[in-house]
Order: sequence, then structure tokens, then C-alpha cells
Amino acid sequence: MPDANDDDFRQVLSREHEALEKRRRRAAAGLETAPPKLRLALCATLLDKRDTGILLRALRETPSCALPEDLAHLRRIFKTPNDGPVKLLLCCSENPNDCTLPQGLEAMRDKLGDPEVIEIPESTPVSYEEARSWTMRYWPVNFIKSRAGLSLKPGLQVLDLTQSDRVQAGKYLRQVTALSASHQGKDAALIVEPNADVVVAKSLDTTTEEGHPLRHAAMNCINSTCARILQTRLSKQADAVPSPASAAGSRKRAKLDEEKHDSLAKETGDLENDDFPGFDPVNTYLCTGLDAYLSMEPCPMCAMALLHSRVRRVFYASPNPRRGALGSCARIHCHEQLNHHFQVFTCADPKPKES
Amino acid sequence: MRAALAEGEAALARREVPIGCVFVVRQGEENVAAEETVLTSGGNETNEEANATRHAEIVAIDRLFARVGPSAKDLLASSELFVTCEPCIMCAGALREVGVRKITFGCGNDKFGGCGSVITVDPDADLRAGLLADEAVSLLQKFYQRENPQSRDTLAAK
Ligand SMILES: [Zn+2]
Ligand SMILES: [Zn+2]
Repeated sequence: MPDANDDDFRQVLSREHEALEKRRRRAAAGLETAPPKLRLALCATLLDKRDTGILLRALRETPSCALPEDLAHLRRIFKTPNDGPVKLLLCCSENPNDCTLPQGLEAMRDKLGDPEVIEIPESTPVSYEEARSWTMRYWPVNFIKSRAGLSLKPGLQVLDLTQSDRVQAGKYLRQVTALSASHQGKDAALIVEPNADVVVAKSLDTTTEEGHPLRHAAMNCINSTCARILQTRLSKQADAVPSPASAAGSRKRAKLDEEKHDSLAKETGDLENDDFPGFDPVNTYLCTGLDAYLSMEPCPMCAMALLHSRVRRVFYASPNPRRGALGSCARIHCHEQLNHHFQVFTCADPKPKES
Repeated sequence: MRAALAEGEAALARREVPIGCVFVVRQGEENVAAEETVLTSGGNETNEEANATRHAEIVAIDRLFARVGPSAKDLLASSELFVTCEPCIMCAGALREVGVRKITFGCGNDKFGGCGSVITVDPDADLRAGLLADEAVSLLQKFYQRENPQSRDTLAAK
């Protein structure tokens, strides 16, 4: 990502939703829209346009003419161009050769031309553009917003990043890739408080140094963040009352993690303000509201650790085709049954890292 | 599994989500009365540490590394895990990282389970489910009946 103007991100969605988004974007961009899945239906031309109202009522009152729920996007009337004849959708046909008038509509026979079998879009259009294009080609359809997408939990929804989101995300994503590059390409992670625009914790993968296979960058970063939060909370408590013995152990651990964090901050020449302006560790529940930036797509352990920690958004630079859990091998953030969801973004045009 | 449940009980006493685990090594040949040694054990510490990743399995693994250093990896790779609740996706990932393949758990974890319930993190893992599941569940119920002071959504701490 060489330039601030290149801050373009792609949201990692579920496969189903991704396909839907792709369709939506193509249509909105005026590109050729996807052809719908088609099915057969029976239509007939009105002999006199003035009978439209009578016939529509008749169709509504005839059970065999009812359209199934999933075809609610189809219109009943097709006014052919240039004030041409009006066609009516009579019913969905199961049998392509059956051109008899639906049962119950016999009384209308003298108002209709011979029924004909046509193809109608069975798929629901996902945008106005798609609906318009299908209307032109097949049969009039409506774009119904509430039916166009999958019903999704708030955290799984498509999120359009604002311009300032993009600028901030670009900045930290470059920072985390630079951190990785300056440490022999080791995975790096940042946790950022987005409103105050400050780095809360910064970590590298230390599996080799520590001889500990769980010390991935993201895990280290979460531990650092939690240690900072806990440390602040405990020292605030200590100011008020003498600290309970049970807290001593975690305080020691928190202190250790914090020292590690500080040494990295020194090493990278990026000394941060200890007071975290705008970041309130006392009232922060886990990593709620914080964003994570990773040089590499996280493994399942790290991805789920971020999820458990209630991170708000995750940005990663390079995909990990071997074991990435937020897009490459799995998309664990798209599982509906999880109790927390975050949005995941990656570079629009990712450059896979050789390893 | 009894030892894992005891770790779960201990976690409950600390007002943590009562999940516990033990990593066990068996010495001696299979099918012969093998001697079992507990390598390391742990219970949830998410509330105490204000860190949602401090699950029983991670705590136990970290304890062993703190005690014996990098050789913990070899010890773990030949060990077997007994845990009261199905490891979540994070812990299942961690177990794969340290090479623990033999996993026995009590109750399933349909919200976060990484050993089949939500996804299967390690398709090569040798899984056994349902051992003393009722006791694991009643331990969890005891916790959820009691109010959890720290977390808004108690499941977050699982
Ligand atoms: Zn990882
Ligand atoms: Zn877990």
C-alpha cells in the first residue's frame, strides 16, 4: 500500500453474501447484470386494456393463480413498450405444454387471448439496476429491498467505510506491515482505539524467541491490551483500597506483559503516551470498540481470540492461504451462532506474501 | 476427567466460568494398565485477568511453558487432553499449534465449539465427546444461576 490515496479495502463476507455483493456492485456500476434463474409461467394478452382492473381482481380471487411467496418480486402486468398490448401473468406453470387457462378463470376467457408459456425470473433481484435489466429482458420485476439480501445479524452486515475510516485504516495497516517488514517479516499486530486514534498495543510474533507456539502476534497483542487495562484498573483500585492478595498474581503478569510491550515500543522507536488520551482502560470491557490491524490474516486461534475479546473491526494486509480463518480457509466471523461479530477488511488488491 | 472437573469447581469458587482441564501423559504400553501423570491443568481465568482468551486450556498450556520452558511442546505433543467442555475455536486452534491430538471433552459447546459444533479446526484430531457431560453441564448451570459480576454476557467468558 504505497500511497494514502490507495486506501481501498474489501470486506470479507460469507461466501453467499459475497456473491450477492458482487452482483449488487456490478449492477450499480452499470455492468452487465447476472442472468436470473428462470422458470416457466403462463401469461395472456388482454383483448381490451380497459379490462385490466377486472382481470387483476379475478386473478387475486382465483386460488390457482396465486403466486408463491418467493415470487413476490414479479409484477402481474406487463405493459409492452410504445403503448402496445397489455399482458397478464396468470400463474406459474409446472408443465411447459399446458396452455390451458387456470382453473377458476374460465369466465374470463372472452377477455383474454390464447395463454402462452413464457420464462420469468425466479431469482429475486438484488438492486434496482438488476430489476430493470431483467424487466427489459424477461418480465417486469420489482426490487424489494427487504427481500434482496440475507437477513443478517448487525455485526455481519455490509459496512461501507467512511473516508476517514479509510484514511485511518490505511495508516495503521501501513504501520503494521512496516513493523513486520522491519522484523524479518515476522507477523505483527496493532490494537487501536479508533476514536482517539491511538495505538493501545503493538506486538510481534514471538513463538521462536519464547519457544512458545501460542505466542502469535495477535495473541500477544490481546494479552498486552488486557494487561494494560487490568494494570490501570488495579492501580486505580490500589489508590482507593489496599489490593487484595488474589490480584497480586495477575498484577505481576500484567506488569510483565506491559514491560514487554514497552520494550517493543522503544525498539520500534515509537514511544506512546502512557496516558492514552481518549482511551479509558478503567471502563473498557475486554477490547470492545477497539480495532485490530494484522500484517497477516489470523489463524483460527487468533481469529477466535479477537472475537472473544469483542474487537470491533479487523484489518489484515496479506491473506494466509494455508490457514487463514478470516477469509482464506475459513470465515469464522460469519457464523451466525457466535455471540459477537466483527467486520473484517483486507486490501482490495492483496499481495500474497511469500513464505 | 475427575481432575478436570475439580479444576472447573475451583474456577467456580473464583467466580469464573467453571470449565477445567488436565493434560495427561500415559506411560507404559497401551491396553496394559498404563500409568497416568497429570502434566498440567487449568481452569478459566477470564474474569480475573480481564482477558477473554484465558480459557482453561490456554491457562494450562501457559503454566507448563512457564514451568519447563520450550520443552513443554514435546511433552504436550505426547499428551492427551481432558476438558469438561468442548474446546472453543480458539482453544482448538491452540491445541493444534501445540500438537495435542487426543481430546476428550464432557459437554458440547454449540456457541463456540471448535471440535465439531461450529467448525472443526483440526480434522485430524482424535475426539471423544460426552465423558461425564452431565456433571460438566450441572457445574455450568450452577454458575449461570448465580449472577456473574464481571461480564455482561457470561458466555463471553467461556
Ligand atoms: Zn495465530
Ligand atoms: Zn476456549
